[in-house]
Amino acid sequence: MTALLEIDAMSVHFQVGSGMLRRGKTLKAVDNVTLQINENETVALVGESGSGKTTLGRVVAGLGSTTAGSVRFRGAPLEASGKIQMIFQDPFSALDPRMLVGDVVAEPLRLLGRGKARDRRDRAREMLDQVRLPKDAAERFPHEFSGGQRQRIAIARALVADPELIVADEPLSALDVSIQSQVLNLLMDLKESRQLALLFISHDLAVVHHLADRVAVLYLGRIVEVASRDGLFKNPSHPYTQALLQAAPKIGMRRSSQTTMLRGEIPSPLNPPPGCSFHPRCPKARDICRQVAPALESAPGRTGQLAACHFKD
Amino acid sequence: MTEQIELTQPNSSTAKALEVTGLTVIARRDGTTTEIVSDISYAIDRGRTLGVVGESGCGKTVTSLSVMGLLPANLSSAGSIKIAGHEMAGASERTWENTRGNQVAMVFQEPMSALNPVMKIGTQVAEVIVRHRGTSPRIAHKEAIELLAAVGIPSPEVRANDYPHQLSGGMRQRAMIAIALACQPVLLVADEPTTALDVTIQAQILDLMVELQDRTGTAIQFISHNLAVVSQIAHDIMVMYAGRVVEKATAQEMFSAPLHPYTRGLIETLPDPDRPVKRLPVIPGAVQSMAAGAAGCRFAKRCSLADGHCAQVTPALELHGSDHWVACHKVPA
Amino acid sequence: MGRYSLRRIAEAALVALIMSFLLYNLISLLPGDPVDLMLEGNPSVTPELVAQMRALYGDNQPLVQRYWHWLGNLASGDLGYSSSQFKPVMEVLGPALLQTSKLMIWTFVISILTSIVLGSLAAFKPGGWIDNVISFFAFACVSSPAYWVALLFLIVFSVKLQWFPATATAIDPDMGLLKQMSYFVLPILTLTLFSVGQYVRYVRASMIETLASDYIRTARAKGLSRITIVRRHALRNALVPVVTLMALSFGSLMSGALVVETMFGVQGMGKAIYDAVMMKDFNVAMIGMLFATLVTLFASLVADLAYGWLDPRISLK
Repeated sequence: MTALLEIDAMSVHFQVGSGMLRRGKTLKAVDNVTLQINENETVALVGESGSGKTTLGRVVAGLGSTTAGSVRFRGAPLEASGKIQMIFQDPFSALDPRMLVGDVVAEPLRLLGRGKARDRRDRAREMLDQVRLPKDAAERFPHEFSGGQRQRIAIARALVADPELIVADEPLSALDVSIQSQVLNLLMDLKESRQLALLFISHDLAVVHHLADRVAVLYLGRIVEVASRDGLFKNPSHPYTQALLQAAPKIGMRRSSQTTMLRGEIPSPLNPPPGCSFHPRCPKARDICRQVAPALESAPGRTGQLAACHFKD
Repeated sequence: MTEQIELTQPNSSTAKALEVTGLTVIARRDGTTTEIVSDISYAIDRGRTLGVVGESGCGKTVTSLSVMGLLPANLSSAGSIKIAGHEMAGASERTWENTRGNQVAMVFQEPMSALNPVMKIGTQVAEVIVRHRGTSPRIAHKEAIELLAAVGIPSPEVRANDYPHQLSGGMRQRAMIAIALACQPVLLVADEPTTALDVTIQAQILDLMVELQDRTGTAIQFISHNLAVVSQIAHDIMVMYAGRVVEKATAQEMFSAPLHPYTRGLIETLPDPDRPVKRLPVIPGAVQSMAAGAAGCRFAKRCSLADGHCAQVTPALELHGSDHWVACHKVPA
Repeated sequence: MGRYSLRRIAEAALVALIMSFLLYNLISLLPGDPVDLMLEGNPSVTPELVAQMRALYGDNQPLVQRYWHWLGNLASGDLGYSSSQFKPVMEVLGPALLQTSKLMIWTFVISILTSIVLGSLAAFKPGGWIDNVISFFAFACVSSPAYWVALLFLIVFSVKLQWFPATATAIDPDMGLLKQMSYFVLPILTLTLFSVGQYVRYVRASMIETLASDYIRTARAKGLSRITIVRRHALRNALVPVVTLMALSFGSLMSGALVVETMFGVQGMGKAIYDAVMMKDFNVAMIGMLFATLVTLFASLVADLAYGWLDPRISLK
């Protein structure tokens, strides 16, 4: 498997609350993340608020800069080549309401300076067809379409420049349930037919299970576990992963009042707990967890599965 | 107050917590009328949770607002709404004001905006107690702290003096639950209460609601678009589509033997790690709004089983088995 | 709360200093010898004093030095003498300040209370008839120039109906309090009308937005009555942006007061400053304008601090 995208010890820190007289605090949105995405592969980034998954996705898509570490695409630093495109969560704000849909879809080509206006228009129409929207969609405005249809327009826009990697940040969350599967199927078909790699950011484990090859779990900016899809779901190694899987709602199972194994709130990324940032909520926490941040290492007896825990399974 | 309904007697009436019959809600705008909710009927027994499931446009939020008497001015409703046996349809605003927060209470989706940002948490909880039980603010404040403890907020006496923005999303939602349950209502209406929360926090809140229901015997109307979340907490489930009830059954029945094509579609369309599929089955099309009085099954256009009859005649809710209701022509009796 | 307030107060003091310097510059542009201007009217002028002053304030001194000495004088309480009235500046401005204050403070209080009530009433049902009446009224108030309204009142209430006296110059300190107050009714009413016109629109807009908030819906879900909701939940939130606007406009009340003072013959600050400039009364003009500046600055400082106090999200930053 050739590595398409290599993220190496990347950190993204923000200075928050600094003014004329104050220095402000450091928000470590992403902290020392190393991850690789191979050709044709779907890697899912899973996490809750403050996990840094959105920041990570944006940096990969070229929408933010790193504070430390590097991101390389086919060995070279990131540049605006159209090879990496992004799909966002909210289909209602992702499309410029004053542009015709055809122009919206053709815009990446225009920005990259590819082809003449007529060619771009034709290509846009072709893409709209591929996402199963009516031919006349190009002459209409985004507000004339439903949420699901707008997300398809966003997908068409992301694919028009022939990218090799798509970063999708919660693309289904704002859609109705019965529409989600339509868009999900479309995404998978297109990925397959165009041999795309996909960085899929989501908090929905069921969807992740459906389409990911590998899964990386993030907590407060750090990777706590990376594994193959089956490895993660069948044999989670990190206590946070286990808690996530247990908390994920499944059909047909009524909770008793003692089901949750995870206490406490998600800490603010401005004040991450020392040592292992998960220790205040972890059922396995011991003294060492408060002092030493665990490194991401292979889980015992499991190939290709990494977890950052002193007491991983 | 003479209109106050006394509730807390041990042998109180056997009336159900909520009984809705023939509820219809109409929106009038620029001369056109749209039926948002059409002739729905359901009931919730005391101490039970009814999950109301549906997508956008199904009318679940409007139904909840009707049960609270909080419909916006441009909507009008007809039909019977009985809370603990008392008919509330057509009740005066005064009667509703005495009932809200008292016999029926509501928890909303966005805990950040649902709490007054310039008022302390403790005061917002105590306010309900003072309003309906007439206790002094000092005693109410003490009770508020106990309530905050009961919903699992640590250091409640300190937190009571905090403002909403100082609490996390999960904490705020717990505070909202404390406000809702302060006067021990017969019915709690929860409209997407966990949708805006992280998964692990959602699990905590759902557990809390189950625990509180066991303790206080409050009935819960739990609205959500997420079938999986609803299944975690509901005893009974009601599926709504385009303003109508299409299926009603116990949760167990609903998931082991769903009958309505929409319900089955909903269940099958959700990815499930325990039932992996290559391609997810899809419900084609999208929800459309309905003009008032239009007949025919509203799901017909998206249904693989539909025929001409379905498009013309509105299916009625019929009983299948002991307690399983379905509105579909195509389900064998 | 502490850090935010201290910073704001320090900033306000700095601005006051800068403003006083700019003002000093401005007045120095007046034709005439500044020393002469400053010493005219001083009954105890001596050649030594003149020489002393010339050393401190003479034209040959750099501007900054002159300004610095003048500031020093101010700080020790010496405000100088009025060259046009041959009295200490305080004796000229003091009574004027009293008159203007009466006007401004009454206007401010009445217009705030009135606009809160009217604005809230209008916000209850936007587009309803109450709203239409109140909004039209506000629009009319804002659109009518102060001097025109003043004239109207004078004609109707003073001349035709003879309810209120016309010119406040006729006030005699020996008159009863009520009679004295009656001279102020029309000027206050004139100023109030304009302020109310402005404020009602702010209050209405803010209240409409607040009433649409989620927490108001929660308050309704608690079973609180509409009045309680407005009083305890909506008002404070709605007033937060409005209070700052009101405090800021307090400063401009002073200039509005000038017109009204002139129309009704009130011997206030506006008139005093105007006369001083016309008569090249350097000291009075300076002190008067400085005072007006400080009032505006103070009002804006209060606005900022009030905002921080009313909204706990700000002060606990």
